[in-house]
Amino acid sequence: MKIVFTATEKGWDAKISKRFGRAEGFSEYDTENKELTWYSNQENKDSEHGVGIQAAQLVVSLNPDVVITGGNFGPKAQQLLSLPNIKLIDEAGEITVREAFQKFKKV
Amino acid sequence: MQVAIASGKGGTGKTTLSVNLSYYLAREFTRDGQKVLLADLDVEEPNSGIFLNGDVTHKEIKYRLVPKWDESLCTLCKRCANICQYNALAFIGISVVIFPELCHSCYLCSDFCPENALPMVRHRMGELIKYKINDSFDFVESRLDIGVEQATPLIKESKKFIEKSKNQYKTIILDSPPGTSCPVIEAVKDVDLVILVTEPTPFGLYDLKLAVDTMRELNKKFAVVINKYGIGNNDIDNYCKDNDIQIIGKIPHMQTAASLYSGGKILIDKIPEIQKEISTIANNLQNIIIKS
Repeated sequence: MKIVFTATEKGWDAKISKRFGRAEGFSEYDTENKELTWYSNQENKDSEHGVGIQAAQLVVSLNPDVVITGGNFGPKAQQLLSLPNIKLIDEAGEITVREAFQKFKKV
Repeated sequence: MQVAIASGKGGTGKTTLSVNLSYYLAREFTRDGQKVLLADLDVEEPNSGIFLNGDVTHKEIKYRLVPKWDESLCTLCKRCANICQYNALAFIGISVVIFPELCHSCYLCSDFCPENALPMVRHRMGELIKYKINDSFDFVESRLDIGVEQATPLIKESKKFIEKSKNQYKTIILDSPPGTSCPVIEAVKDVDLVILVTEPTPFGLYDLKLAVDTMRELNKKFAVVINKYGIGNNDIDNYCKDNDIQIIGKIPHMQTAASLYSGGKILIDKIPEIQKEISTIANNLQNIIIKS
């Protein structure tokens, strides 16, 4: 299973980003090979238009099963992420990527 | 002549001036079948119509063109999503998703698609309604549909509509949107004169300066009307004097004006002081236009 977290920087101790489109980047955890991989969103996050759309394309291309963010996804990103049937978890709050993963495991 | 009523700041009195000036010009400056046209181009929130009663003489739905994805022709090359400057197309899995609200109708994706899989199709953005207020006064209102984000395309289409019948009118007044961005530039770009309405407050002055810079950048002839005159201080008078800007009218601040306005009434019928000032503005307008 692949889980993508919106994050303020790379690593397990980084805070979950409250924003999806304008997140600093995305941490992808693959439960099979137990690797956490960082994808920067630097190129998109300061665009004037359609950041949610750009970020959603990036995230969908990673082919995740779950995406977790601290706040809301935003309507356009949510629409796109829903197309490939990704499970979306929002309002995770101001916690670290590690804490978010532990919470997710319990659900 | 075509005159746009604009302002940097919102709420300074663009609509008050547009409606009362048009009404006055139609009554006093027309003869032998001459007519005045007022067009409300503040398409996001047109409100001139609140002050006018008339009969609908024409109505049309306005469209703009956006791409439509033809799945059967698409080879999923992603070129469209990569070149769109507004991120209005997204490539998700094996489909292209189009967001019409972000599309600026530039045709880039449509023209660059090697398979012609993105034909441009009509997309409704709002409507335009024309009214006859009286024998010498017509009114056009353009209104964006709820949820439509871009005002400029509808303003552009409305101006095309006005252009077609412009020879019928002695004077055309355009009630423009506030601010100094694309919708305002579209509204004022081909008029003979822009009247910048301001108010004697620090906000009024700050935004007037932005509006003046915009008009100078566009090389537009403009003049200033100070509304709510009497409140605040003389900073606007001084700014205009220092920068060689002509003030063509000062509409006094009056509580009766505010109450009549909130009841949707024309002010010049009820308040002689305001009628006098509107008449001064009308005369100044004629002089400026004759001189140029």
